[in-house]
Amino acid sequence: MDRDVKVILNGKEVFGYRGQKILELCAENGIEIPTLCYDPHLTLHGGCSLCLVEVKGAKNLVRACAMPINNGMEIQTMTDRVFGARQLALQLLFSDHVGDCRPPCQLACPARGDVKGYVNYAAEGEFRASLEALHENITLPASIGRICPAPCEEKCRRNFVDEEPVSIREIKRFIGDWGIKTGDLGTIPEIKENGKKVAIVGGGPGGLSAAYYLRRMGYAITLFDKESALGGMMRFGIPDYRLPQPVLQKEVDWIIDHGIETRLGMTLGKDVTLDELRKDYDSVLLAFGCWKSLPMRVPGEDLKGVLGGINFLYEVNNGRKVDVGDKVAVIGGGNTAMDAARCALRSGAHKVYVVYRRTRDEMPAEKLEIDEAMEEDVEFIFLAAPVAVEGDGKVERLICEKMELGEPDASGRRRPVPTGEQFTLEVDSVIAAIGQGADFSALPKEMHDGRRIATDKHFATPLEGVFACGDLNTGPDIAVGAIAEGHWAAESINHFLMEGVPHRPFECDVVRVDLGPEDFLDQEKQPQEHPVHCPGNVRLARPFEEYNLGLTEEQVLRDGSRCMKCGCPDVHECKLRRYGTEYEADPETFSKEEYSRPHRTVEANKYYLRDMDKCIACGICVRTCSQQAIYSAIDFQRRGMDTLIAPAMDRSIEDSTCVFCGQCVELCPTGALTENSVHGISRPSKTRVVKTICPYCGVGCELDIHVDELTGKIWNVKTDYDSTTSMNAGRCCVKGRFGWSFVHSDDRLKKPLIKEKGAFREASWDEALGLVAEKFTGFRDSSGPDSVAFFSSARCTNEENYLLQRFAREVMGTNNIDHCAHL
Amino acid sequence: MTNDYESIKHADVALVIGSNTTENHPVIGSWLKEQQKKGRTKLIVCDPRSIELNDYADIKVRHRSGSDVALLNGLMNIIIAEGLHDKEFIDKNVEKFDELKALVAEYTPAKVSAITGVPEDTLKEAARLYARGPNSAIFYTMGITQHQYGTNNVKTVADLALLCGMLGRPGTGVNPLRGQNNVQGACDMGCLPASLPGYLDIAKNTEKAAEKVRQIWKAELPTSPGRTIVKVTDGLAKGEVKGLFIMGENPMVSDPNTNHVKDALEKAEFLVVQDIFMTETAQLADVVLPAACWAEKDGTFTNTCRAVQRIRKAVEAPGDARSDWEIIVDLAKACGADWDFHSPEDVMEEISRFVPQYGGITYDRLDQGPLMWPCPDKDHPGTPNLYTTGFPRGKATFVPYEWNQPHEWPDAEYPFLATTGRTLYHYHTGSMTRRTPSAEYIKSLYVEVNPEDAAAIGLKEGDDVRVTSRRGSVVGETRITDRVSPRMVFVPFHFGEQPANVLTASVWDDTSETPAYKINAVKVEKA
Ligand SMILES: Cc1cc2nc3c(=O)[nH]c(=O)nc-3n(C[C@H](O)[C@H](O)[C@H](O)COP(=O)(O)OP(=O)(O)OC[C@H]3O[C@@H](n4cnc5c(N)ncnc54)[C@H](O)[C@@H]3O)c2cc1C
Ligand code: SF4
Ligand code: SF4
Ligand code: SF4
Ligand code: SF4
Ligand code: SF4
Ligand code: FES
Repeated sequence: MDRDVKVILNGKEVFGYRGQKILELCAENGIEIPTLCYDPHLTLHGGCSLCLVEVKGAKNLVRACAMPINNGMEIQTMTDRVFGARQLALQLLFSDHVGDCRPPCQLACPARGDVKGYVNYAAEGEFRASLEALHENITLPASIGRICPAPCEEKCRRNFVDEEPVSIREIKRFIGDWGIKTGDLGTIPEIKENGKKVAIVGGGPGGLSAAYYLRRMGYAITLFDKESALGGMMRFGIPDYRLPQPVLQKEVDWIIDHGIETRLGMTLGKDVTLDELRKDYDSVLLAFGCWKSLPMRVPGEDLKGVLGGINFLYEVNNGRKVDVGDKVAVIGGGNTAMDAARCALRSGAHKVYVVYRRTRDEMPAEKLEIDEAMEEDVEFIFLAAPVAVEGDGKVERLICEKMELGEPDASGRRRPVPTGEQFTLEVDSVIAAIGQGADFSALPKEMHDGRRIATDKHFATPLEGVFACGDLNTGPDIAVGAIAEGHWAAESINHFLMEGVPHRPFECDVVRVDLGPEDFLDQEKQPQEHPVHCPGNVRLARPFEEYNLGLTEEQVLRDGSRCMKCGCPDVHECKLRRYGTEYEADPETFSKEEYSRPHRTVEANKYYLRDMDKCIACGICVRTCSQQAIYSAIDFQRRGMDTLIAPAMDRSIEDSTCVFCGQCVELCPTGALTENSVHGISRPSKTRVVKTICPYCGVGCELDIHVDELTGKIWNVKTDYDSTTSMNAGRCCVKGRFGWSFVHSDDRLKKPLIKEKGAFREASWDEALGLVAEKFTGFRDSSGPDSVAFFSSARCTNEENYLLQRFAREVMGTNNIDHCAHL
Repeated sequence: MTNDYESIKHADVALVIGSNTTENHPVIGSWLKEQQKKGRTKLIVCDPRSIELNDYADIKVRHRSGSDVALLNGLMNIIIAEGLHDKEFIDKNVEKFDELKALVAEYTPAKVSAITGVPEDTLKEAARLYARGPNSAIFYTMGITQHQYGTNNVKTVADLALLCGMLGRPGTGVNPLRGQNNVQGACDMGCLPASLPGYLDIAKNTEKAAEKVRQIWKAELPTSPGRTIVKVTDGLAKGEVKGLFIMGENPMVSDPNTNHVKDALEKAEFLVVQDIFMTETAQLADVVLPAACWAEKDGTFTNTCRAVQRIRKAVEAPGDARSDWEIIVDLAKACGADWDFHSPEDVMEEISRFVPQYGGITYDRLDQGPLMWPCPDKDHPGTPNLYTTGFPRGKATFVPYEWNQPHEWPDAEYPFLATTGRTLYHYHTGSMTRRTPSAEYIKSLYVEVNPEDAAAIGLKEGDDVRVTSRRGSVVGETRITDRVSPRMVFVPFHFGEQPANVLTASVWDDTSETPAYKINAVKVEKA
């Protein structure tokens, strides 16, 4: 065909042939146009409107998949109008889409840890794979696995079955500990330097996480910290009995081993200034946390014996003995207060009060922390607030006022209201643990308002190239929150340094919130596994030693298997979600009228799952079946809004003419059609594709084996419609696509076996081959070469068949060689 | 296959005989259907069962099982009688036309119609359509070869193609569809008692063969005739064969007359089985060697259109299991041989020196895509279509055969005809597919019964049905379908616990020694 049609494509002159579609011309010129209903191997459908482009002179945007080019056409493929139209098309497709891309546990995890992935790897005994899956989003797993309040568990759907979640945190800890125990904390990849430098101030979880992800992208990282050890509040705030320092240290070291330069004992504002960093580095990330104890604002606050919560814990965590006296009052109801109270007990106090303005129900501290403090005989005084600290040169008394609960405040909690009634606590010290704030003294004025740092949603501060994340950005939060911030800030910095503007990744998730216990009645109940409980007095007898020893391996395998593998199996490959992410289409833009549409069904057969709630009616499957498989098992059944893809006459797939070639599953752009084998795997984040030939019939179809790199096992087999080396051009049958699970079957032969007295016993290769050699050469030498015979196999390779006949003829001296190939 | 897959797209007519293509060679089936649907190819389907492809057939020829040679002779009779044969082609390329003509003259439409049960008009239409082409291709499989006279069938198919000059052009050809992934390769590699790799016939070319073996293996070629599988089984029973080494096969399930095979294997003094699973056959072994499976090794397969293709290692083998090639190399060394192969690629290097058809095949080239043999040297592009420039020995020969009544035919005591075969969902003896989702889909043996017969016997869908031949008996689930004709049942053979091959006779085609699985007289009862 002559390329005589001249087109101006995004301002560039290119030539195409007559009748060529805009889409094809774009593809030839390396311009990717998003498509959902188009497939180059099928006839046109033109229904999804995703491929819209702007053509000069045309009133409306045109479909690139359907519109042929003509001479002089001027095409723009990415204008604001085009972007908006595609975004709208996607939002409309999402408007009646029912499913959840990622499971609720993962969405509840601030770091979006691949819970389903690492829990199930753990349940399969694939601990290393689990660790690698963890590292995708969660650094410091052994440490986080000890101290995380586990918001994921709160949202875990296992609660609907057992009223208890999967032990996500404990499993994480087990895996982290497995790494530390085996000394194999994970592969440190070879890093391709990209020549850019980033300074990070603050080596807490936020700074460490950012350093880790930026380093993996190829940045040279210098990590500054005012302390002489890294870990931030995990190191200097959280006491050792909850998080032993060696555990944290090993995990921190592993991150640093990625080739991160550390500058310890360097305080921003004192030893180095922001201006200097901005000058020396391409970008600066501030992650120095909230290290100022907030004052109580009561008289007597400056008496000796009044301590800030984190200051007290800082001393304890530095191994310094703090003399708190015999009786201590801790003010506050958060985790810092709990840690301070329990550390006070461990520092020699015999009586520790926790004074809190509201009741137990309103306490922000973790339930477990409160329970454990109570078990250790900390006395809780609820509905009380400090009004003054009194004493002669040092603390002697704390005067408190009784409170009552009034109207709810902005946070929804009922506001404590003073009653005017006072009481006195005789104490030797007062620890104020009512909150922390950031120290902004090292930053210029335009970067903060004294309480909050000024950042946008992409972590960018008003100073170009300067970013902030972690507690500094959010205010005091939890460690995994800081890890998340570090990760997304790293992405934003990368975007800034590569594309010129900061940008945090857009997350496109269809979510289901309509599920409840009644949707899981078919699940068998199985209670959660718990670590052995250690009583309070035993804990106090070994004050700073860790007392939670975690789950055993058996418990991890059992508990992990409780996971129901929620979320969409197609999440990594779904084109709808991929474009939704690219075009930042919020799935919730248009409300979903109803959650389940009764005429759309989820239908499982032995090979694949049809979840018609996720079908976008693109018709690819229908065309694949009639044009590639040549079966026409399915078609559009109703029209308009009710459109449904199904076999004719309301039959099920198993009763239709479908022969389970899986080609429609392969080409379906969404998770509406998925191979059963992929259910419950939340990968392929790391997949290796190996092209090989089908082991079944003589057609010799080329197959793409998809290997999960983390476990080294096959997770799916597909075909490649564009392969240049195949004879089947994407086609295949049920055996090629679905006939591979025997490979990993448990009853594979794994050892040579020798039969003795009618029973097999295992043997070494040397022994087994030695015996075969002895017998066969024996027969040859005593009864003649033709007393032995060989059957080869049509299932073995050419090379193997060649060698066996050579062995028979050359070594044994017989032509008794045949194969069972008459079939 | 004489022609490649691409050639299918050029066929004006495709004659499919004894091949349930859409079940046994599904992707080729899809091409044939696509061609027919698009109106590019007319389909003639000859099969005793009303197979799926029949739904697309322009001409449906439901001839009786075992009557293939009569049918083909009948077609040739009509073609010659109506002068539709390619005289020019025959003059130039084929010998013994007169012999053929004389023999098929006997096979008048009336006579053939009586033998095959196919109406005379259908025979004529089919003959004309095929002969007129312009390009007609024949496809067949074991439906044709698994008969006592399978070799005759195959030669007769070739006669038909020669008669009409349907060879050597895209869209034509004689295309046997190979059942297993690498049957072609196993034959190419000389795993045949009578020939060395590359079909070098030991008896006919003894000196040449011996010289090659001396040169490449530095060894002496044994010249005593080798035993075929069937004769090995007999030899075991008689104590003449003492040691048997089976690589990757499960004859306990796949071979005819399972009971006979079991007796023979049990008699072996020393049986070695190399496999990926503890198969029915491996149970009987003295030594079992664990092999890597297809996904765990490198190598090549040769498919049914002679395309050599690379298989690649994707995952590690479990436990101590090793690739078959490694095992053989080590065994050879243990027997004192001085072999120096370190990879399948090393072996291919030797193959390319030994087998002229593979002379130009290297792994590097295969990475660019399949190569169809003959591919004699490194610059040769491979040969998609054979005989484009004539025949290797100058001229081909017609080899006409008479139709013979099959060895066993339904009678009063065994009134049904049972044919064995495979289904889309399972493969061979099931040791692989019965560990995949297909195990759930088709769990156990089923027997296809025609609705008429089902009614007469009182069988309902799903009932247990017993099928008994003179040799044995199996029980399966009833499937009522008009895919089988009345008085005929179909029994798939993938199920070791109910092996269809207990029904089959130890009767073989005399030339190829292919077992006759296709025809068995049986009785059918409610179990
Ligand atoms: C007592 C206590 C208990 C907690 N318990 C839990 C818990 O059980 N579970 C949980 O998930 N979270 C807990 N947290 C919260 C968690 O530790 C923090 O959210 C998290 O550490 C914040 O991480 P970050 O990296 O943002 O800051 P940080 O961890 O605070 O790290 C900031 C780093 O910056 C350094 N730095 C500060 N100023 C400068 C400067 N000027 N120059 C150079 N370096 C500087 C610091 O030395 C520190 O290393 C607890 C916090 C406290 C205080
Ligand atoms: S099909 Fe795509 S968009 Fe829908 S739930 Fe699955 S991953 Fe999300
Ligand atoms: S059951 Fe598993 S996938 Fe589902 S929410 Fe719980 S941990 Fe996540
Ligand atoms: S099921 Fe069919 S119509 Fe629905 S999204 Fe998948 S390919 Fe498109
Ligand atoms: S699996 Fe194959 S036959 Fe079945 S509907 Fe899909 S494309 Fe059609
Ligand atoms: S995928 Fe099916 S048609 Fe293709 S080689 Fe395998 S068994 Fe044969
Ligand atoms: S409308 Fe063009 S790709 Fe769907």
